[in-house]
Amino acid sequence: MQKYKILTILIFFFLIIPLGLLTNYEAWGEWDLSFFKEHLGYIPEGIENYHHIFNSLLPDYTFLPNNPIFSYYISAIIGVLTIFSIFYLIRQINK
Amino acid sequence: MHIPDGYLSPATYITSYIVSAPLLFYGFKKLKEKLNDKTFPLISTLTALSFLIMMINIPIPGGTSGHAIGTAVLSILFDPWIAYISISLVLFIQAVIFGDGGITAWAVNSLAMGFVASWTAFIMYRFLKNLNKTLALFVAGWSSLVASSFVIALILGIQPYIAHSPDGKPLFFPFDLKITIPAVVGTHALYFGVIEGVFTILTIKFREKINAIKVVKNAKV
Repeated sequence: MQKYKILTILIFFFLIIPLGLLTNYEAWGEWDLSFFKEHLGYIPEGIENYHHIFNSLLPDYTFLPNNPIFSYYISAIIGVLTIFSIFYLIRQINK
Repeated sequence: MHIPDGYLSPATYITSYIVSAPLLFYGFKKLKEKLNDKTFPLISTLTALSFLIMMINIPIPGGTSGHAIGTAVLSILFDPWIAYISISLVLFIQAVIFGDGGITAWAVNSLAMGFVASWTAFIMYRFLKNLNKTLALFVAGWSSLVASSFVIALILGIQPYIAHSPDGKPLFFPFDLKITIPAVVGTHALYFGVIEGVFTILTIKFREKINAIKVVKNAKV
């Protein structure tokens, strides 16, 4: 089990991820369409046409608007399990 | 720093996919070689850790926010190719499942936060580790994020020059390099890079501590 001790740090960061919800500030350059309308007066054609070209399954990690913390935790679990599964599959192919 | 869909002109993202293809192919081959029962726990845990820290958005003065990426840790503990592929996988999951970063922009995001960040961390660490290990870890983390933000700023900032309508209106990302460089590189050098540096030190020192305990335990037996 020794080699799994590193999981402690993963659990620590898992527990504190709701801290990421404390800010309403958007990352610079990750704006939605309304930002351009507001700041430029128009939405550049390409951005308007292609911004929503792909619909992700659980947009923005907060698919339950009433319970952002819960959806953040569920998103984290889904992400972490997907990552472990993919590495596990690659390892199985290798064997 | 995750560029969304619609911000990049087709000329940009098609080129980025063409450039990425051989790098991803080679990197994946390296990952397959390195991934075994012994390395699996650490590689997958550190990759999952990268996914989690990217969820922790940290606000900074000026009304924006950002986060660390965790590429440097993987690059230093394994090698830059492993880090590049692992982070690209994280970015892929973020884009497909959570809409964080675009599908068309995935290759640019992966080149910046994966490829460039991992090689910068690797080279800086190699260069400085004999001088002072803690300093080397910090600089590796800091510089990896700053270099990666530079690539993002550059790719975003050239869009108004390469894609505009006949009357000069930008078709894709509208702000040029004079704006993107200070906004993206400046904030990463001052804030998020520092967080990446500290995260790199803490994670690698923590891992060394676990290993030290293991050595002592084995010695007792």
